[in-house]
Amino acid sequence: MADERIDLPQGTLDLLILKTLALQPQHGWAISERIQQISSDVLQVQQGSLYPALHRLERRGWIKARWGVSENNRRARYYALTPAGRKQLGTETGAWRKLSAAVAQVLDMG
Amino acid sequence: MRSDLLYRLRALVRRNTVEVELDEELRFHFDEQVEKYVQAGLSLGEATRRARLNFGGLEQLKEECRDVRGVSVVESIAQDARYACRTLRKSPAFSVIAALTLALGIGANTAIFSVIEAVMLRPLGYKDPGRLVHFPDGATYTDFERWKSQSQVFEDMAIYFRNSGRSRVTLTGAGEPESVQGGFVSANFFPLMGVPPALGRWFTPIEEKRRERIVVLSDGLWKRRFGASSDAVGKALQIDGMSFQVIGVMPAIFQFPARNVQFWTPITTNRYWGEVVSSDVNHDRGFWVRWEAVGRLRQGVTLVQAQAEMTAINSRLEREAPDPNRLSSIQVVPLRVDLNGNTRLAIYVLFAAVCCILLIACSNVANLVLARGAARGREMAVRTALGAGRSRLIRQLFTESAVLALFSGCLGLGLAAFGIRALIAYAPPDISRLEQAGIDLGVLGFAVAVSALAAIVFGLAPAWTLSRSDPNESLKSGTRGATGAAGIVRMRGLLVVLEFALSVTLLTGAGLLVRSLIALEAVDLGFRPEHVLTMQITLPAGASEARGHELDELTLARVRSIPNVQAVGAINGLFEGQPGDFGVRIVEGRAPEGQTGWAPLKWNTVRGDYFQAMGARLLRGRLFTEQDGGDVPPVAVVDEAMARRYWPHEDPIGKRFKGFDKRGHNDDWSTVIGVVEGMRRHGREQKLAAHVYEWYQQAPDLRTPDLVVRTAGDPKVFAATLHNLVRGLDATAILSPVTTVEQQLSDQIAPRRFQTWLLSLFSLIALVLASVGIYGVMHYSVAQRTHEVGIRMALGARPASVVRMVIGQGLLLAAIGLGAGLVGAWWLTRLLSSLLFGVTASDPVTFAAVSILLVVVAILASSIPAWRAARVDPIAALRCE
Repeated sequence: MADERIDLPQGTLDLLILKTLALQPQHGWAISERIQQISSDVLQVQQGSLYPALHRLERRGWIKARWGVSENNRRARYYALTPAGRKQLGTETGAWRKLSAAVAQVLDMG
Repeated sequence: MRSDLLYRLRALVRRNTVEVELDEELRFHFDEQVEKYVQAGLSLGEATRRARLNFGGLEQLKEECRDVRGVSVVESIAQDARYACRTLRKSPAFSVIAALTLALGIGANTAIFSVIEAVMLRPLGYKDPGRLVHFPDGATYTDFERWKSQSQVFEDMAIYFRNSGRSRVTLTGAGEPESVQGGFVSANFFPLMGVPPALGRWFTPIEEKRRERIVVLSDGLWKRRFGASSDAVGKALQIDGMSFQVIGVMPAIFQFPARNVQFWTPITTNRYWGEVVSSDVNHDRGFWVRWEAVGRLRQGVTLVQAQAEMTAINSRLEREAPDPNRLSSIQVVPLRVDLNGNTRLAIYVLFAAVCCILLIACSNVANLVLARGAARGREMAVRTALGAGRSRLIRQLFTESAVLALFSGCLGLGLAAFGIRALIAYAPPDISRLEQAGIDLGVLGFAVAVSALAAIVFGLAPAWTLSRSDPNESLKSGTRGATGAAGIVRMRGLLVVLEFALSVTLLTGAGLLVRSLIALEAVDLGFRPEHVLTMQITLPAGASEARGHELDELTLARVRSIPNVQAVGAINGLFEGQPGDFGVRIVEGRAPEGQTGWAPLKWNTVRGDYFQAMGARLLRGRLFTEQDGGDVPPVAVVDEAMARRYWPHEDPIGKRFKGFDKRGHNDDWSTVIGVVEGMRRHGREQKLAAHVYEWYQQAPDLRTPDLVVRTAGDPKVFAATLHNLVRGLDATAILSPVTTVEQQLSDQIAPRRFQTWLLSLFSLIALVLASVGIYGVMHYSVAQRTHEVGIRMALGARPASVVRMVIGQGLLLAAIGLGAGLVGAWWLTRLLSSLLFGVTASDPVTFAAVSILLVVVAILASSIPAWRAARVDPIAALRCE
């Protein structure tokens, strides 16, 4: 199982967080679980990069934090996408698609 | 962008909260992780261990989050400041000298500013004072009534008795009787001024109409006569022998219409009310029937509009209801601080002086920073080489300046607080509201602004010069770190020239004032003021002439019998202002004198041995004797000025003249029996005016309230005896404190003396700072040129020539500064003209003395570095390389 995991390229984590939050507001733990789950355990988000990323996104105004109550009735910090974040998600998704297509094209050659 | 800012701010301001939140967030994550492992079947201990492993370094993670939060700008400033503090601590001598120098400049500025603020800038405490105006020439009561009803521009207008003899009253009751100035005002006066009483209430129009005897006290009177007690309201005050009930107390800030007004009471209670209110248009009574008024302009009305309307009203009144007591024009003047022109000028001069001191202090510190900067050239070079940008270097150097300025500012504020107290304590008492000077918000703001300005002035130039250093050059040039040496030397030279120029200007101004003071003190008074006591004895209003005369006679007789009293006499008006222009009606054998020929002339009545007591010098003829009675033809003693005016080149003895007033006693011929030397009793600064002295028996309607007593030995020991003696003769008389004539004369020039010493002190400080500056520059220059000096000496230069070279260099700087300063002084001292006495603004002696002083100081200041240079050991200096 461990062998199948890969490290996230620079900048990709932001995109994944934004995407995850586009579905619904989440706390940090749930975000990392969600990414892991959806990527079938391939993408594992380390706390060491998750929280700095969240704080960075908040500072840029793409996500907003609010204290809420978790499923097991504990105070948890929930992050939600802001309109600016939604726009950013669109831009970054497009850029990512272009990049991955281009990379695929190059790799597929000959 | 906004969210970024908010985020950073929150991170900065609510640092703790953010930190706690981060903790909680991470803990939540951790717990969830543990929970997950437990659910997967691990024991709690194992789950915790795994989760912890998974998490990695918690502190590291937090630090990363903190980094992301980005409080770095603020933190880097804090870092710079910390670094600056460390650097300043590392060179304590530099820091202490720089901080003290600056603190001196900032402190002096702040202290003088606080005086300006209290005396000139602070609003008078009235509501919306911009709309208050007054009519300094006054008008008759009827006219005021007409103005009030006819004008459109005023919201309201309140009238009061002008500050004069008619509003001077006697306070009696408990304690010594005293003569004070009262405010007789209309009931709408206080609502119009908009100042609420500190205690009690103000009186109403009904009370004014009923002429009720009620009084509102000034803060001073309240403290003096009622011991600042809050039960003063309801008590009684004896004004001119009548009992007035105290209904209120005004705050100290309220000093209207004049500073010496001690109380306010309904205008209708003044003893002249009936006489003045009747508008007798057929008789010209001039000044005495006029009142003054203060008006509040309606919102939005300008002074010009008000003036225009009042002019129109006045000319209409002139046509419709002519009155000889009306003036041909009305002046509308905004109400503002009443300050003697010379006091104002003196304050400006002092402020300019402290600004100079601050500038000198700044250039001195800039100089120090540069000198130290040169030594830090390598540090700068290394930092530049390691990639620090120029702006980063400037910022760091500037932060050092700012920290220094901040520290000096605090120190300066302390100095200022001390200085203000000293100023208040030593200043002559004639400056209104000076006692209210202190450190308030405005002054604090000023101090902060001045410190900031200082930081910019002394910080920016060095930061600029130093950061321009070429790292290549500096690193190559080895340990001495002579970074940008040429630029620094030029800049430092310039600063020293500036310091000297400013000092020269200040010293010249101070020198002129000192010369004036010396000239003033050397003025021949025409009498001998030593050992002479004086005291004024006035009687309460309504006392008869006969009683006054009797008291004067008795007093003289009794005082004469006190042992060690050599002579005693009395006069009316010992110390009065400059006499007005008058003439005599007829001088025998001369054509009548027209009013155009009038010049200052004063009539005095004397009694007893007045001339002997004053130590006056009789030039010709004789003095009065008791034989000069009321039943013989009047005689007069005149002074030199009088004799010169009417009998030039003749012997005035035996000449006859008549006074100016045909209704009075002057209709008889008066014969001159003696000529005395002119006496400058009215002040050393005033020109000698002509005087006519009459004998009391021949001028029966005049009292002689000013007692003059010449004593053997210290006059002060007689003061109490004198007071008690007169008090024993009349319990109701108002007795001024017993003082010496010397003291009175000295008090007359106290303001001048104070200004002079203050300016001298400031210019001395400037001089000291400037010489420290030149010393610093020469010292640095010598240190820089050790190598060169070494070579010169090795090649045979003698120590004397080295000394000459260094001193010559210092002198060159001083000379340039001196030249610039003399030119500046030449222009600026002109502004001092009205403060000068006996010297001209371009007094060559002062200019020469200042120049010599400056040259001597420059030589002294550069001689220590010169001596050091001469001791350079050529071998050591060369080896050093």
